[in-house]
Amino acid sequence: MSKPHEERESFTKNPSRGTRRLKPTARRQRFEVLIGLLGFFTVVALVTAVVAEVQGKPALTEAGVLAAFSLATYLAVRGWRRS
Amino acid sequence: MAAPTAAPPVAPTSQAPRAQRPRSRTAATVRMYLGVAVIVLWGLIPFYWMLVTSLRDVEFTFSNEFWPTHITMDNFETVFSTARGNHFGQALVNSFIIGAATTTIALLVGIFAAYALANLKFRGKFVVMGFILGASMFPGVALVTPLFSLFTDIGWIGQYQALIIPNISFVLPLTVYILTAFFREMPWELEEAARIDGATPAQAFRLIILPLAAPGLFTTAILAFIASWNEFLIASQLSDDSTQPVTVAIANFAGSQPHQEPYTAVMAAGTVVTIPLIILVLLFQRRIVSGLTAGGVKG
Repeated sequence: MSKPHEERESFTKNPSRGTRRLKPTARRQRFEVLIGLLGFFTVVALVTAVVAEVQGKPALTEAGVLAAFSLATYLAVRGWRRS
Repeated sequence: MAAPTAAPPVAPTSQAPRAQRPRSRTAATVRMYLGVAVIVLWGLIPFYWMLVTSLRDVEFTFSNEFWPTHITMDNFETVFSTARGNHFGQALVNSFIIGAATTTIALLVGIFAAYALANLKFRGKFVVMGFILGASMFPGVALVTPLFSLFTDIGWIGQYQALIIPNISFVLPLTVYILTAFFREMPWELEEAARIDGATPAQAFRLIILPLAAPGLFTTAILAFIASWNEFLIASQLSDDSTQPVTVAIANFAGSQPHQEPYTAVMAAGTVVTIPLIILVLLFQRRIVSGLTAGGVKG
């Protein structure tokens, strides 16, 4: 059950340029972490907005925050699909 | 006329680096120890000042003497005295109960979560990691009011579970992250070998993986206990006199006079509270270091 190679080596080296680039798998993994991170705050923003709506309080700020986090999560998912 | 030429300075240039190397090495060593000394002093001076003030007579609370003067143990007696409504002894017991329960539950859940995240292949594994990272970044102060409201409704204010459950939510991400890094470095071939020899997955985990993970578990347990021991924000709102931990008890210390802040007693209490942590860290410092550095270098 040894670890897959791509999980251990995150970078590919380009000796002619002396640069390092993220391997596609590592790139996808980082997008997944970002999706999880933004997803958590999106869920929190959703719960806050729903609670404010149900209680009949003004929920413009909550809705704005939820929209911002939803957009950020969508962009992260799009980046993940393209990577 | 040919100008007199000096002999090529072959020997001096070849010997010069050899002569300079020890000197530069000594300078580097001196710089390193100087840096270490600065860091150690930076960390220890506040603790030293706390100790000195805790041993000082109340009349000399604000003395600027660097060395201990007017030494007395009255402050430590005051700390444990219940005459002024301070319940420091009970608060110490409460902190132990909350810390032990938080550490045990966080470890139990964290071990399985970290094992799955490090070893198993499933879709969305890194999304879960990101979710846990998000939970660990959530500010505790944002939870105080909702938790107070919720626990008031269900009658949990002033009970141990009201302090243990929020603590677990703060400690669990830390536990999962440290243990995941540790489990990633485990030689999984041993588990494979146990499975080939007929062990069930549970047996392989219990008999092979857990004993190998002991240093990581120790580290995580100590860090979780320290985090729980030092927690103040949630406990200050959700506890009462019978369940308050030491952090809250110290903040609520009453002095001999009204409106007087008993600094020397507070410092004595701070010293008493720090001692168990120092003993824990000194006893297990090797395990802490090995557990913390595990997973730091990819093999």
